[in-house]
Amino acid sequence: MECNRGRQMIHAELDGELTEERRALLAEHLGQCAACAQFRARLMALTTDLAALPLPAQPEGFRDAVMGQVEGLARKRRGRLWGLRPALPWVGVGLSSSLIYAALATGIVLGLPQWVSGAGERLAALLSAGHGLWQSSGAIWSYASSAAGDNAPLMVCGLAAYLAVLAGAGWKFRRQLLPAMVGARDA
Amino acid sequence: MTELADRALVARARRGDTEAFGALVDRHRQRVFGVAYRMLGDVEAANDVAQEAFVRAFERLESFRSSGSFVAWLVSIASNLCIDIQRRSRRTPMSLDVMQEEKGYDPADPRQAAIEHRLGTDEAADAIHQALEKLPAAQRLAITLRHIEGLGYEEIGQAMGVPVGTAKTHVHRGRERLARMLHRFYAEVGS
Ligand SMILES: [Zn+2]
Repeated sequence: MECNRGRQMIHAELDGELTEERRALLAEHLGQCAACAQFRARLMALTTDLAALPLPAQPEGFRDAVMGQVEGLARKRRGRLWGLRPALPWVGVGLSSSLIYAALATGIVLGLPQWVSGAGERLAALLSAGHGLWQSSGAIWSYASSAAGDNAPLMVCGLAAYLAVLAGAGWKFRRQLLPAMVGARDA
Repeated sequence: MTELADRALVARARRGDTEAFGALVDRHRQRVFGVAYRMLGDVEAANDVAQEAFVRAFERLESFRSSGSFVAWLVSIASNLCIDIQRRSRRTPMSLDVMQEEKGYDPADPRQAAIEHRLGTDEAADAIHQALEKLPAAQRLAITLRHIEGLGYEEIGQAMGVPVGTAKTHVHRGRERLARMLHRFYAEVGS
């Protein structure tokens, strides 16, 4: 056997990965090769010494220093979530009114063709919006239009105003609330 | 067992339990400090790195994959910090007298006795330390994790961000290089 293979087996032996079969091969080689026998003895001494290498004493106050910083980070993290608390009712009001407005707006949009006499039924059939949706949107439309005093331009303005408010709220959410929430999670 | 306990503590720490994280600090502070010391050869710098490593670990606890070894993950944070420091300062290896001044280890430590038994003095520890400092960083880290800290190759690969086979190669090359550098100390061994 070549010394190169012998050395590989010595490393495998140190790693605890030498099979019985290869162990016998290695023993045979070591009996004939003084260089490999010496290599093995030195690596064994080296690894024993490495395992016994002393470590200097760690400076005092390690745990306190780490935990001081960790507590600070944890407080900051809790603080960020806590800071969002006053905004929560507004988020609730915003979400629920958005849902109402969205239903209303859908009704208005679907109701518009109905308002344009005759064209409504054809368009609704084309859109296959469904009878139920058609009827309920019609109901919402009647409610909205009676609230607006049957004034279509006023209703379109209302719809535009609603979309503007929605866009503004979305922008505010993206710029302010979202970073605060993500920041609280990542901190 | 250790891994299971680590994972349970990590899960609690993720839910904001800082005491659980304190327990992780207690369990691994010695090892993290040890790795940093072997990498940097300086007690104060190693202590700073170990602190920073734990703080970063807490900050990034969400990114720890619970299928892996927590120790390996921690060691990878610490060793990356060490590599950054070395890159920034390109520090020269410490001289023998600085090492002797900084040692301050307990002579009653039984591990200490093993080396002194071999050479009769604590010269051996200094010689090994100096030889370690001269190894390329990857071999030094691999040797430290394998033979000083006793980690398995799976964990070493994870800590170094390399495949298991590469971790083994670093250890094997490091062993041979150390043996060559220390041939005078081991002159009478096996001859
Ligand atoms: Zn041979």
